[in-house]
Amino acid sequence: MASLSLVNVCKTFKNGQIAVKNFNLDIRDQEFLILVGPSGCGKSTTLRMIAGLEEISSGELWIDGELMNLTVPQKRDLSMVFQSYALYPHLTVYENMAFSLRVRNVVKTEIDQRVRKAADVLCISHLLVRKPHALSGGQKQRVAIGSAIVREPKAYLMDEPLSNLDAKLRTQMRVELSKIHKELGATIIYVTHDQVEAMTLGTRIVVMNSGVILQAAEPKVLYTNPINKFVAGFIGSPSMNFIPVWVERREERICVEFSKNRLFVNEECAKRLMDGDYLGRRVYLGIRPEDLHETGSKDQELKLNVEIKEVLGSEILLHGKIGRSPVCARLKPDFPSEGGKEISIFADMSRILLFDMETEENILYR
Amino acid sequence: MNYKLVTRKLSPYGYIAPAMAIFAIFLFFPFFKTIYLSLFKTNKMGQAKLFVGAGNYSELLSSASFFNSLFVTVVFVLIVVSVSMLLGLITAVLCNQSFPGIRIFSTAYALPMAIASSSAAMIFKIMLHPAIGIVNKILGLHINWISDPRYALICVALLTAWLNSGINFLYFSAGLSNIDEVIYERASVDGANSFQKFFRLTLPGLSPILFYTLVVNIIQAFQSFGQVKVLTMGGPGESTNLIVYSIYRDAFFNYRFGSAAAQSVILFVIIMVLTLCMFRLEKKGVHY
Repeated sequence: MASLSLVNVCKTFKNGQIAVKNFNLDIRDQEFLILVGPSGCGKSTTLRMIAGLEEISSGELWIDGELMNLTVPQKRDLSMVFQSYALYPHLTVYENMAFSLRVRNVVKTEIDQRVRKAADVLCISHLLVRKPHALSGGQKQRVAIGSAIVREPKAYLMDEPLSNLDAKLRTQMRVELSKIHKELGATIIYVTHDQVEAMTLGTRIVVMNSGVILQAAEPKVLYTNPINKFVAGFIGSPSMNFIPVWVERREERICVEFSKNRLFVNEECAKRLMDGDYLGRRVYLGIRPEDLHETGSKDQELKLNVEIKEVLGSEILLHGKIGRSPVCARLKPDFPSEGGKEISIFADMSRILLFDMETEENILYR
Repeated sequence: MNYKLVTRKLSPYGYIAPAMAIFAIFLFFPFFKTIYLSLFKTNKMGQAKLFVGAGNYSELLSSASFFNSLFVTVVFVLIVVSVSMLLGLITAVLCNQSFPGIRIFSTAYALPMAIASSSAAMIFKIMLHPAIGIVNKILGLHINWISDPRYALICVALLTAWLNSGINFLYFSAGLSNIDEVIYERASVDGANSFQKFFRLTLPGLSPILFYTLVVNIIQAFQSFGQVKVLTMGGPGESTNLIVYSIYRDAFFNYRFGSAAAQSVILFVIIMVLTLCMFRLEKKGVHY
C-alpha cells in the first residue's frame, strides 16, 4: 500500500474553467480518505488527476515518494472503481476481474488463484461465467470492486461507486466496503456526494466546495467542530438548522435573540462572542435536529410552528418554523405533535454553533 | 357481419400488396426467370428455345474459362474485402479522436461512398496511364498497370476497395461511438497499452458491426461490375474477368443467355452458402 501527497494541485480546463484550486493533502498509508462535496466541486476531477486520467495543470502529485505528474495511468499502479462500474461488456465476470492481470502477463495459475480468492471475498463465485448484462446493479458493483482488488495495487480510487444502487443495497455495500478496507489494509480514496457514506466509511473526510478544500478531518471532528457554515450544513442528515440571531446581553448574561425567542449561551461561547466583538451584531445560530429535545429548562425553550411531521419509526422529524426560519427537529416517536400546532422544544446549548454573518466561519471553531 | 369479417381478414394483405407487387416484378420474377433460362438454350433475343436441363451447368463445370472467372473473383473478393475493411477501420479509429479539422478528415474518408464506380474508374484509368499517369510519375516506374495481367486485377481490386472504404468508415465510426469511453479509462488504469486496448476492447466491441460489414462487403465485392467494365473490360486476356462481367459478356456479347443465367444461379448459390456459413460463425466471434 502507499501514501500519496498532493502539493498545490490545480486543474484548469481548456475553456478556462477552474475545477481544482491549490489542493494540498497528504494521504497516509492504509487511510480510507473520503472526498465529499456537492456536484461540480472538483472531487471527481481530483480523483481522476490522481489516476492519471486528467492532466494536472499545476502542482505536484507524489505516490510513495515518486513524482507522478507525467507518469501514464498504466504505470501508476492504482486501481479505480467507476461510478458506472465500467465493466467490459463482452467479457465474463471472470475475464473482467482477470483483465488487469492478463494485460500485465501474470501467469495463468496465479490469475486464477487471485480471481477466485477475490470472488470468494465478495461472494460472487457463482457469477464468474456470467456477462455483465446478466448481472444486477449490486452484482455489477461487486464485480467492479473485485476487478480492482485482484491486482493488489498501491491504492484504490473509488468514484461514487454506490450512487447507482438502491438505498438498502447501498447500506449493505457500505458495510462490505468497510470490511474489505480492514481485511486488505488498503489505502482508499473515495469520492462521494453522500455525506452518510462519508461519515460511515471514512477514517478522514475532505470537504470540498468550488474546487478548494474547506476542511479535512476525522468524521466526528467534522460533525462536532466544522470550520464554517457550509461544512456544518453539508455534514449531518437532516442538515443543521441555521437561524439568524442577535447577540445581546440580558440579565448580565450573553444570549442570542430572534423572533421572541431567547437562548442563553454558555461561558465559553459568551467569551468567544465577546472576544470577537459580536455583541449587538447578527450571527447565524447553528443547531442540529438531533440537538433539539422534548424537555429542558426555560433558558433553552424555543417555539416551533409545526408544518409537517415525518414518522421514521424509531424517531420523528418535525419540520416547521421558528419565527421566519425553517427548522427541523428530530424527536422521540411518542412526542405529541401535529401539523399546524405550536409546540415547545428545547435546544441543547452545549451543542450549538455560531457562525459569522459575513465570513460564515464558525465562531466557536477550536 | 360476414362481409366485415372478410374485410378484416383481407385488409392486411391489401397493405402488403403494393410492396409485394414491386418485389414480384423486380425481384421474384427475374429470379425465377433466371433459373428457368438456365435450363434452356436461348436465341439472340434471350427467348428460351431448347430445354437442356443441367446442360448449361455441366458445360460451365467443364469450362476452364469459368473456373478462371471463379478463381479471379475469389482473389478479387479477398483483396477488396480485406483492404476496404482495413482502410475503413483504420480511418475510423484515427477519426475517433477530437482534434481541430477532424470534420475535414471525416468527410475525406467518407467521400468514396459518394463517387460512382464508373467515374472513379475513369479517373483511375488516367492516374494509371503508363505515359501520363500520376502513379508512374510518383513512383518513377514505367508499368502499364491496366494492360499487364500481373497488375490489372490488383488495380481493379484496390480501386473497388477504396470505393467501399467510405461506407465502411461510416459503419465503423458509428460502431466506435457506441463503445463506452469509460471502459478505455478503466483499461488505462488497469495497465493496458494502446494495442491491448485496441485488440481486447475495440475489436470485440466492434464485432457486431464488423460482422455486418463483412457480410455486406463480400456480397458487394462479388457483384462488382462497373469498374471492370470501364477499366479493363475483363482483360488483359481473362485476368480481370470477374464472374459478373463474365455473365454480362456471355449474355450481351455472345448472346448465350442460358449460360449467363446458369452462371448467375451459381453465383447466387456461392453467395448464399457463404452468408449462411458466416451466420453460423457469428455465434462464436460476435459479442452483442
